[in-house]
Amino acid sequence: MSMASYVLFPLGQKRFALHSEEVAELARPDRLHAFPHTTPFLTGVLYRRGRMVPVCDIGQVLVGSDAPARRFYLIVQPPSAGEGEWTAIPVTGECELIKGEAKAPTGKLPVWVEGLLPLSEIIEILDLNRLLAIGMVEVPA
Amino acid sequence: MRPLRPEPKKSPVRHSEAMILFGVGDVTFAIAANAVEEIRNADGLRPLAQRKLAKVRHLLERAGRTYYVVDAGCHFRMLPMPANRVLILRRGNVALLVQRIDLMKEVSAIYALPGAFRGEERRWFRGLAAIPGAGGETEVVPVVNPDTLLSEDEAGMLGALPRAKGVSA
Repeated sequence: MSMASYVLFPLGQKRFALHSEEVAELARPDRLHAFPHTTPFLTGVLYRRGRMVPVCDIGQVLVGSDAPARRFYLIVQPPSAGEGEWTAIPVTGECELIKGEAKAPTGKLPVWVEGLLPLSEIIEILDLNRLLAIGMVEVPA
Repeated sequence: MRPLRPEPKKSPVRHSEAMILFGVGDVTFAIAANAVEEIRNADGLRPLAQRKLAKVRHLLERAGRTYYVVDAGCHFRMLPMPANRVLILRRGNVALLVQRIDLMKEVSAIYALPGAFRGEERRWFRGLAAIPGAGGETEVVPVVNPDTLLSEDEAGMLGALPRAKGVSA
């Protein structure tokens, strides 16, 4: 794998990486609007700049329910999402933009880990499409 | 990171529509006012002798018609809670049992439910309304699709049931 840009974000004690081109911004806490639904890991929507942004709490999958309170929202656009379809991911602290060379995943890792970044610790690079699809079963309209 | 560009966002459907806002627990919902025939209290609800659907436990007789009363909390998979207001819908023999009626509002835009929502909510809701609140904050309220409160299969299932005492077919 070659050098690429990544955004590192913390979830509790761990850090994870996303391809920088999937990330739009890091947003301050905003009001979460919750309503009934049956899609796993979605907690509601943010109403930002005249658009509805779904909030997907991937921390439940990546670090379990023990993660500390999320302080910011990372606004991302998964590659499989339609144009202009953003998703907000709650994270627990500030993010960092880095350049690095990813290594292929080794050993038994979850399917949403598409590579590893060897920094001061080994950081998992996330495949957003696979991660956000976990547990989702489409209901016919 | 990708700079925020003026992305081609999905525009909401813009037209003014009167909505009735109602609540179950701490959630506020909207339903088109023209989908509602009457709002009344829960007096006169008759229990169904047999319950084949958890969300339909009562019938209501009105003007010679029988309505199946759908418990909104149960339909939206919320925790059970007392409800005492009934929205009688214009189409079909369906009424909706809710906890409270909040107010009527003119809504100028309905946003499509984001594609990330893939569950039953895609059937339950027409979309999301952004309603300006008194304090300047915007409330986001799901807009109920009245046509999906009782599916054809569910209605058929209920139609085969014997009526509760005193309610004739």
